[in-house]
Amino acid sequence: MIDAYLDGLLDEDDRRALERRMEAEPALREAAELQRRIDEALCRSFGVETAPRMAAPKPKPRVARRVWAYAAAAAIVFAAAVVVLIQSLQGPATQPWKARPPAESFASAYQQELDAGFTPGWVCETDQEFADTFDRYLGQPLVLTAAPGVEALGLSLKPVQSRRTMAVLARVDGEPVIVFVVRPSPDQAPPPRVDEGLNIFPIELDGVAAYEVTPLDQPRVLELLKEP
Amino acid sequence: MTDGSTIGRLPGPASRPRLDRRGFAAHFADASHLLWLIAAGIVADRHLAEDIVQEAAVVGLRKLDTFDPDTNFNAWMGRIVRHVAMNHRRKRQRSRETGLDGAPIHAPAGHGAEREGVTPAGQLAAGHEAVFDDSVLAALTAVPETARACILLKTVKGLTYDEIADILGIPAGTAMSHVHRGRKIMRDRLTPERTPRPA
Repeated sequence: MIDAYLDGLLDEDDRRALERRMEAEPALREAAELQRRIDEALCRSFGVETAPRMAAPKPKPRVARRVWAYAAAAAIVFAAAVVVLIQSLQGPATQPWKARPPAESFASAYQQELDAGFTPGWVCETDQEFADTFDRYLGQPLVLTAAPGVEALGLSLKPVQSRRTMAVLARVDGEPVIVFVVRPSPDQAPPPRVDEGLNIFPIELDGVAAYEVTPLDQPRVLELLKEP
Repeated sequence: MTDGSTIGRLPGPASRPRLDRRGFAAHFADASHLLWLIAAGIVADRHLAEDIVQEAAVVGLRKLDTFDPDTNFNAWMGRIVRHVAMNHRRKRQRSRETGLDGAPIHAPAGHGAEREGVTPAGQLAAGHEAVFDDSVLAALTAVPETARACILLKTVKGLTYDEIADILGIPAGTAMSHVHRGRKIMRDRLTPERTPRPA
């Protein structure tokens, strides 16, 4: 009945009858509201804008074209090798050639949190709840121990570097500080330590990497993150 | 004088020309999101779903001669995608269940959907969509595969049950039943006070 209601398949009389029932039965009303939220979430996760762009496979090229394709590929490989050689002679590159510089993402995510009022998505009431949350989203339970001057505010899930990056929001001596905890992937370069007035301090924990983004000169929250 | 067999071979006035590669590509581009949803529903893996749709496109191109242009392209390709996706799923299940030495192996406890867990909706801060979306995806994995595809086609594409039935090659009543039962499973998993219910 709820499905038919949300799908708009009920006729006028049935719709009104169900709405009267929902007014009287909170459980029914909550189920309808939950189903509406589920449908919205599915549309967000699987909507056309999130779907991969796909085209039909192209027919195989003829041999003559294939020869040119091989020649072009060889030329690209040769050019890339020359570029790598030159860069290695010049020292480390200032910009990683990966498309997305992670440090900018951390800095902009930090700024977004500030602009949004620096309010966490949710608060864990106990260490166990905190550890379970990290275990669920990153596969690594962690706890945050207490320290003077450090006020833990809560957690937010931020799509920085990976879709499941956990942000620990805290105030350190009154300053807003965020620790982003991610499961590192091998093709991601570590972010630089300084970015436009912010310091970014990395640390590797067991199976996860954490980055403290702070206006302070020293990391104060990283050392508080521990395995339970 | 007329010859019935000769008339029978003549193309009817309403019949359309056979689909060529270019026509296939155009139809495929229009249908790709729908096809991806079918695959994603069955294998529960959005990236593998992309591969499956591409693989199905190769199959479709190979069988282009069998496609009747007077029928529904989406239904024809949808069934090919479903077939390819089911094969992938079966292969994956076999490789999970049987190690190289033939000894049965099982997914470790707390792995996959169980490990993902489900955060009850009531524990989430209002508007914290990313967390809720993850919980919904975890709940979706608890739904049987064909029901998942039905739910996605119904919810995301807004198809009617007749259209879903046509595309997946199942009766409309079965499609409706899949959607209702699947949604119920998801709601139960996302309801804060989950209590065991009698079967």
